[in-house]
Amino acid sequence: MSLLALTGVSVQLDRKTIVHEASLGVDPGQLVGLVGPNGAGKTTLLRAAAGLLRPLTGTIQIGGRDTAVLDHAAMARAVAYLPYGAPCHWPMTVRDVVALGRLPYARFLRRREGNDTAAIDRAMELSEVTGFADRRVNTLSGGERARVLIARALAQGSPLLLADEPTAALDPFHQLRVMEVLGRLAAEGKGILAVFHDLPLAARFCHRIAVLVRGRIVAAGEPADVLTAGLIRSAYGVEVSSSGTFTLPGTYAE
Amino acid sequence: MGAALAGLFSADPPVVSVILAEIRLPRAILGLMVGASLGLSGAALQGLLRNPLAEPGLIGVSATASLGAVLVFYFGMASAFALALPLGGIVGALLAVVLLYALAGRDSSVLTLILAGMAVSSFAAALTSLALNLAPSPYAALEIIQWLLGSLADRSMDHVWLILPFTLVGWGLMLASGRSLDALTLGEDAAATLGVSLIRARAQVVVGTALAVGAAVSVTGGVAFVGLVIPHLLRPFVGHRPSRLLAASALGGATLLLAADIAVRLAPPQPELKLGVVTALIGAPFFLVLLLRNRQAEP
Repeated sequence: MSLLALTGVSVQLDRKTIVHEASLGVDPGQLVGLVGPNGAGKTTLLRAAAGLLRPLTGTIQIGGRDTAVLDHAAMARAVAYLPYGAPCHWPMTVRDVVALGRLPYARFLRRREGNDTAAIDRAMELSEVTGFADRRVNTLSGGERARVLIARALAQGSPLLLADEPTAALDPFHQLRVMEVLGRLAAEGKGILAVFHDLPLAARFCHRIAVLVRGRIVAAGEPADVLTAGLIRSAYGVEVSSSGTFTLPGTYAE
Repeated sequence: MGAALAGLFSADPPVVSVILAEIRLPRAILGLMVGASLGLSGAALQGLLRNPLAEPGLIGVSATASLGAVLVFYFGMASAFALALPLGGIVGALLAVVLLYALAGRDSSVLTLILAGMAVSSFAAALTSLALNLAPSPYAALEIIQWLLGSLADRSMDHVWLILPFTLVGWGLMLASGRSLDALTLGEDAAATLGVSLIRARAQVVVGTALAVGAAVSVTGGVAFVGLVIPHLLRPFVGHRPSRLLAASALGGATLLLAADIAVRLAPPQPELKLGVVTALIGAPFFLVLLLRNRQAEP
């Protein structure tokens, strides 16, 4: 059974249709990359999958159940969502931030329990942030901070993770660290749907790639089958040179 | 002091005991309640809006509560019955919430909420000025101005009993929002996917502020900056966690206001300095320092 199944999903924002009849699935153990040019509707699609936007048509199933019938608490246990830019508004310690992932399990006036602590420790270990657990998030580098917020999402303990550009604004070293963490999570059986802009990076780590252009999924499948020079040209308007770099049409790579 | 305390329980209390029970005690209790309301609502609003510069004045509650009380003065109802003034303030604050929701909608963004709050605030201030402008006599205008300055002097236990229910319900609503405020640290989208109802969190904080601060402003007049300064000072001591800041700020606000009130009561100037004047004198420069530090932090 797939963790996430979008069937013919259309989403409107301000009466403008942003996503057109998109169908997409994520199975356990899969890292699925969602790519496409700016403004294609990737974030909108991801937010709809997270239950933040109601689809106009089509169905979104998470763990086999329609999101229309799931309440806030059930959704929070089924899916974790990492927004773009890894926002964290107060300079709390890394451990306190990761612990926010346990909020769906909190009850009024109940103290944190053993399995909460275990989930927090495990999440910090998998994301490799244990070493600076007591530092404040505002003192971390962008790459460290990105991993802390991934750990926060992991602590939520949901089988499905949706991430909006988890490698945005990171240097190559930290991009690879984040991708390694995501790959390890998939190996542990989680399903991940993440937006990427770095096509070679996505192709290297993702099991499947879906390409969104002007709100429609124009191709989906294994990276090698999907990310062809022809598709990249029609989707992004760039040429792929023989050395694998992208060039604007009419110019030549050296 | 001992004689005064002992006298409280005698059938025919001496004057010192009467002063303690009728004048000092209500003043101290009101100081604690109002300070707690201001500190707590500041912490709750800062958590909700994720803005360290937020305070009850920002969403228009203080201004409309003031307006409500000023209208009571204007129509001469303050002398008609003693509790007209607090009631006017509370009605004004609740009106702010109704207007805020009408202007900003139930599930609008934080920015819309702040802008709507500013609009409500400016309009209430304009109407307050209008009331001053049209005041029937210089004496009436002076009465309004004296009240607007903010003070805890000459209040009775009747005031305490009147604002107690509104204050307690307001505190309860704000304290219940702790978990949601923690989640909002990660932004609205992440908070929603953590199972937090943003609509409910917003209602808890805004209505809670209206009840507690509306009630507070209606008996003390304008006491500014406590809601801004206290959460700021205490945030580092609770690990910057919004939920833990709530109770801490309530205690801190209560302490600060009680101390400030004792200071104005004991300070030499005659006539007595108004509490609202003193908190604004200390608070405004603090606010400026905050702004400047914030600008350095995010260029």
